[in-house]
Amino acid sequence: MNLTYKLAQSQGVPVMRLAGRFDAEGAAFVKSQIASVVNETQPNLIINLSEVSFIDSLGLTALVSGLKLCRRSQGALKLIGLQPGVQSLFEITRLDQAFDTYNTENEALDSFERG
Amino acid sequence: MAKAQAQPRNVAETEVAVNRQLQLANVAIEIPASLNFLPILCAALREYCVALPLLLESAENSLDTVRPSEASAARLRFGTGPLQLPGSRGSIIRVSYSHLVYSLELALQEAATNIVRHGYMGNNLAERIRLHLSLRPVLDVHQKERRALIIELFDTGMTFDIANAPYNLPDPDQLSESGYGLYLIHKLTDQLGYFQQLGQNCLQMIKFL
Repeated sequence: MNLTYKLAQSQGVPVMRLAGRFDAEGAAFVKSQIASVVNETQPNLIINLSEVSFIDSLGLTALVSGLKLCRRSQGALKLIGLQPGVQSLFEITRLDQAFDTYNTENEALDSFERG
Repeated sequence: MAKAQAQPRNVAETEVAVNRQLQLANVAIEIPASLNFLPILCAALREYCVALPLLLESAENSLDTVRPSEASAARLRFGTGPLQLPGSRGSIIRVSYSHLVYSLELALQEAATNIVRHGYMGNNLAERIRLHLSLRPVLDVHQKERRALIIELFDTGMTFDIANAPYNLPDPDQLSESGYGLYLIHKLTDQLGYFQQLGQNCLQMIKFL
């Protein structure tokens, strides 16, 4: 797998930091990790993609799956640091409308506090 | 007496000569039919794209008819930001280079993923996928000949004519978890073809330069 994964907590919110290539191979792994982190007592999640150089449609659908899980749990999924190519994938598929994206983790954390 | 000057070849002859040189720049690579190996195909495409402006420039520079000022005016910048590709006849094609490369890599990744998942029904190390990269003139929809990057994938799995398959973007409000791959392949390329050759399937993805 060409994707590295780190999980941290920041102000009580889990933050997944991904790096590398988020493709078919990494998608199933990330999907399962999201499912193990998000639940009704912890419905929020931040995924930092600033080190992710490439996402394909399967990586994208892993994020869609995570977004739906957070929403079902009455929480939110926020994405950080989309690189230009990754941003264009979100725009082509019009999923940029569905996701909340931020430049930094702090901005995303602030948005949770403002709730 | 008039000073002797080397007569430049006419534009059409120059174009033919440049294209003949570029057609030598073919790359072929074969991998086992497994998702684990797809990054190798993508890396080959990326490296080919990096070499592309240099290939075009050197092909044009090698002809005595190319005006040196125009050739050297083609300043190349890699990474982010706009890149100027030296086009035919000293013209300059402006594209966002990183965007072009990402688009093509994504189209290739989606197409090769489809072959593994649907053509071979999952990773199968006994089977192969072959990638062929080339540059040659192709007729566009207006029957105009244009220089193009041709990305071809060959496999012996189940036949699926991607070029003529219906494709629609899933409604973003529905948050669909499938159905993006075909749409991306169609959107990110200029022309698609699907053929059967010598018992192999061939998907041809064309990007005009």
